[in-house]
Amino acid sequence: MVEVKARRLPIPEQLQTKSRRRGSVQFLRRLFRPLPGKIGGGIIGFMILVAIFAPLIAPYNPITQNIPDRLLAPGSHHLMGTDETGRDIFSRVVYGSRISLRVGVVSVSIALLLGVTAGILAGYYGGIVDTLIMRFVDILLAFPGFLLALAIIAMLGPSLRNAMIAVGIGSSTGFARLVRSSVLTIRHADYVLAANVAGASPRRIMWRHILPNSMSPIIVLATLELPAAILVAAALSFLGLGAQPPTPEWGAMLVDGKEYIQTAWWLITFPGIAIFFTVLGFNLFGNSLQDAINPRLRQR
Amino acid sequence: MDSQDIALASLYRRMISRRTMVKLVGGAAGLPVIATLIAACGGSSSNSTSASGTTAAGQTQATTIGGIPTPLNTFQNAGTPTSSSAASTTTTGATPVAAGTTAASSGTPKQGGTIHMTIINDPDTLDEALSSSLTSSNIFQYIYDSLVYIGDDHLPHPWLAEKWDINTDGTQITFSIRSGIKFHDGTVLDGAAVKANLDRILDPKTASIAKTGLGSMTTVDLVDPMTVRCNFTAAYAPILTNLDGTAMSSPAAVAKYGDTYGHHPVGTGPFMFKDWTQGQGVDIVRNPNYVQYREDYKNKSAPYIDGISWKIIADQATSTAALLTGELDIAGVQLTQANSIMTNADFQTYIWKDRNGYIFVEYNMNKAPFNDLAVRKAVALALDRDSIVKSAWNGFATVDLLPIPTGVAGYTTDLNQFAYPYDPAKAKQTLTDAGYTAGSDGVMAKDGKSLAFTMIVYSGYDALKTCGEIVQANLNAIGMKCTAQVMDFSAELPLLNAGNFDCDLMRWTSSDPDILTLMFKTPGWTKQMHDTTLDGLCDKMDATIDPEKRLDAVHDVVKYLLAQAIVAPICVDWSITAVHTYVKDYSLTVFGEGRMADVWLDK
Amino acid sequence: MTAYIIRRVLMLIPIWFGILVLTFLMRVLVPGDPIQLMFAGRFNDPAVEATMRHKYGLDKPILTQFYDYTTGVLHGNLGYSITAQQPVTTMIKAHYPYTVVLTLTSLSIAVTIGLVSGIISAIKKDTIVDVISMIFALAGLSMPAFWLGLLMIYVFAVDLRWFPVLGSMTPKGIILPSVTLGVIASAVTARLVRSTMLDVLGEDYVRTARAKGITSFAVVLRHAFRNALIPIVTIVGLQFGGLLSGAFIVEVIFAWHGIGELAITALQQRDFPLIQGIVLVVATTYVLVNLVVDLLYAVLDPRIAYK
Repeated sequence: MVEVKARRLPIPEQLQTKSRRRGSVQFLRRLFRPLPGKIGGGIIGFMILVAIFAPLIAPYNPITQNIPDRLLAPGSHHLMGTDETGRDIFSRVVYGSRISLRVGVVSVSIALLLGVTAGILAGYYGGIVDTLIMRFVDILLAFPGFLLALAIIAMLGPSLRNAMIAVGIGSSTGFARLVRSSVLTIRHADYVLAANVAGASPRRIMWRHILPNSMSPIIVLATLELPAAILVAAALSFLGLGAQPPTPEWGAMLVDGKEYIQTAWWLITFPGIAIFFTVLGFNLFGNSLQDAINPRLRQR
Repeated sequence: MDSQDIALASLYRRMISRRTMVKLVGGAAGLPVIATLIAACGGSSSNSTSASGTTAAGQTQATTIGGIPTPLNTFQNAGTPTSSSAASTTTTGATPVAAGTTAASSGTPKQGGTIHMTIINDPDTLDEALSSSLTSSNIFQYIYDSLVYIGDDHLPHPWLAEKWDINTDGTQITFSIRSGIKFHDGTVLDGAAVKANLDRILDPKTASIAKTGLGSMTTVDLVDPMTVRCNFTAAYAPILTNLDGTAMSSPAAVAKYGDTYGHHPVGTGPFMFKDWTQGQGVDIVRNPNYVQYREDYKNKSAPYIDGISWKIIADQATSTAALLTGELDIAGVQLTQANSIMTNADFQTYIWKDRNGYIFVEYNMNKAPFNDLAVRKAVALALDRDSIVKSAWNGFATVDLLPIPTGVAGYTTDLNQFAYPYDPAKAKQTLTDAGYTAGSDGVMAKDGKSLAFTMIVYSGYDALKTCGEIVQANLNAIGMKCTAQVMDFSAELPLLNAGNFDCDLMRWTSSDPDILTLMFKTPGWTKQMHDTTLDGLCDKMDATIDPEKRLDAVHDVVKYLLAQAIVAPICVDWSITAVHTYVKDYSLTVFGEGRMADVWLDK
Repeated sequence: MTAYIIRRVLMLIPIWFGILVLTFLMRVLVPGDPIQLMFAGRFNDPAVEATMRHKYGLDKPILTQFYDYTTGVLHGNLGYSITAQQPVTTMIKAHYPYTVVLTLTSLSIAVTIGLVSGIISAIKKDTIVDVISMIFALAGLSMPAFWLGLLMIYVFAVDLRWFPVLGSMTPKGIILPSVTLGVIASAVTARLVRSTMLDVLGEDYVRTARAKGITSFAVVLRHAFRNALIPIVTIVGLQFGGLLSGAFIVEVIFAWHGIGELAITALQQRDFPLIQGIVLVVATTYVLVNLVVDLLYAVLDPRIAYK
């Protein structure tokens, strides 16, 4: 059974080997020397800079309406045009980077917190704890994902925060399974057994010994879940269940722009491109990270 | 209630369906036409450029008669963003229809062809008595006929009922049923069939949602084979409007199919049910034996087209695209994309302006801050309705200052003197006069309580969300702190009914002043109303049979609503239907429904 | 083997039970009442409302409803939809084939794109070809589904008129929605194929083969490809589950009346019996498809044996 589970998630399986202590310089070189890593890292770095310096970059207040200037095409005053209430789309896209990065990071953090905890508990204690946790994970996995997110938001009420919680719960299952299988392979490693003999508490063993040693596959999965979270949040906006107005969230802007797809193309295009590049950047980066960590590839 | 209703682009069913719509009772000719269907935009589309600005957005022309919608390829209206470009567009081959006359000849009608249209979701059932779905009511009008219909003059006219009499106190209405009409299954429509239909709705065991539409009706007597008398406990003015839309089903078919009748509907209408594929759509075919008794139809016999096929399309952007490719022949268009359709030579567009639905802010008046009349007045004064119309509805909406839609009897701009037009300075002054002062955070406050609140906006109607954003900005501009919260209607309703809200942005439809009773009479649609003065005014309105006196009663309710600033009305959003030019003789009824039995295809 | 299959099928029982519990929790926790919704904006008649509640069993305590529903499910009865006034099974039967067909067509597109760009990327690792190939594969995944869908509609249906806007079970009508979904799903496949291929290309036997002078292409085909089938099977299993429930936006955009669209509508209208039925059916499919996938592993890789 264990073998089957692990097989079902081949990405982590390849990565389960305990990471060897190697120079971080070497690692970074492996990560950024390939072109995809450079591009992905570049995009992410750029987005982070934009998010930090948004107030300096954005020429206008992203939520100030200026109805006489509504639906202006891109031009010298408004780089990306204006939306239906005359807000500057460029400024909204710039500020939107903050929201989208936050959505990605917070959702994945929630997923990490829930998934890693559940996975460690299940893997370390085994037995009834394992069975209960993993059956619950199975149920969540079998539950149609988007419907689960919608149901959670319906319970908590629609807001950006609750959307992040819903996305986080939904993607925690992957982490739980990954961490559990890591723990199972590490649990009988010498240093864990040694710590056990030395009288370390189970909690200490889990957090100080097992978790750090199963970190690399977790990081890879997190890098890949992050862009997915941004997209799910955008999909929630399709149903009006994400960020609340007038928040300049890219998904919500995209949905507003859908109404004007024929008459004012810039409303949907620019936030769409922003999402596209951010998600693409994270995906490329995640791929390279995976390559860089993958021990088998190192030998080539 | 019309397929073009953009509000219905959402997946919910939130508006009053046709049978609960209320209308003036009586047949007095010469009654002033209170609200006309369509503001005339010049005589015809070809020379309508000169009419630019003659109809200020928001005001209807009471002089317009007939109410036949004008094809508006070159649409002109104040507040329309396309005026200059549209004005230069030459008219296409479409035959313009002059307002106030019958449609000009557009050639000899040809028989044949199927019209493709769209519904937003599956009907719940095609049994009118059991249906609560708006989608279903789009289909009923073609399968079923009713006893009476509401004409373009907003008055009831004979249909299956040849005539009717109302006794002096309004507690008995006697209908004479037209003879020679047969259901699609060949059985005869007679008094017994009419009684059977009404009895079925009245029977609590049926659990018909239409029951409340019959008001105080208690029993139905068969006076003779072709005469039916309905008995009421008290006069119920809206009854005739509600009977337009009360379907007459074949009692034989109802008995035959039992619980599955909703999937085998049998009426007397111009089209017969053919097929309903779950998840795909509904098909109906022409009734070759049909005789049209409605005076507002040109075609007095069976429809020209072979049938209508509805495809289910939930997303408006998709249906607009399908219209452009010709996969749909007729479709409502998104107001945000209407400009490009109107200037497209392939289409004629029909605009239904004076609709019977409107957008407004409503309050929970049982708690602070909206238990304070001054705050409610300030909100109403703070709303920049012109900007909202321009921005959220692309100009395709009419500013409404009254708590009643422009398309409902009782609407008159004479009452605007009691209303609260946009005046942010006065709004601030109102708050100051009531003792509110700016707090340290800039938000107005009184007795330590600041004017911070949440406004609920239901999701699924994109224009409403934009409207909410502007309302939010407007209110914040006068020193309030309004937080917008979008949620689906299903989640909003329990909050409203539990009184667990501050205020919300809402839209309701009904073609009769009865909408006021439904919304505001205790307990109100939100279940938060309890104003005995208002109850009395509503009761009086609903029990007044005489049309002119009833109008006065409506005005009394409207004035009271304004005095108490019970809602802040914003606008009436239009419905724009685009029709391919090969579809001829299309027109809209007073309820914005296409007269499909008149339509023929020239292709 | 047989014992393994039986054990896996039996695993459905706790999953079913868990899903029943979860969906019933939704009834309690998700605000909104289907009957109340029907009466929104209508004059309320308490007698009519009570009759309706009774008709759908909503007047009983929630635990009784749970018991009734569970025993119903055991007898193959998924209940009665409140908004559609029809048996839930009838509705699912009408919508489910559409979802399955769309899932299969889009999966074949995803696997085709994923295989080609994954293999190219692996062979030309770290070159510009790798980058372009991966960007191409990731592009679909990086676009919000409804934007991609709308672009497809406006470019290929409205402007070019190659395909109809409205999806239908015809060769032409199925292409746009399948491509939209397939392009999205292809990225994951491509990534998996790429990393598996890289692994395999690094294996001793492949290196030996290369050393012996066998050309790269032959190596890829003969040795690596067979191994790459395993991630493909995996992804088919994972994506099948994802597509079943995740395709709803594409379904809405293309008016493709699958189970995803039905589920979202049901949730918005708080039609709980319908939601429960859909979740049960989708979850069952997910579990069974993954069982088949696991069994396929054993066929593809003799080292895997199930006990």
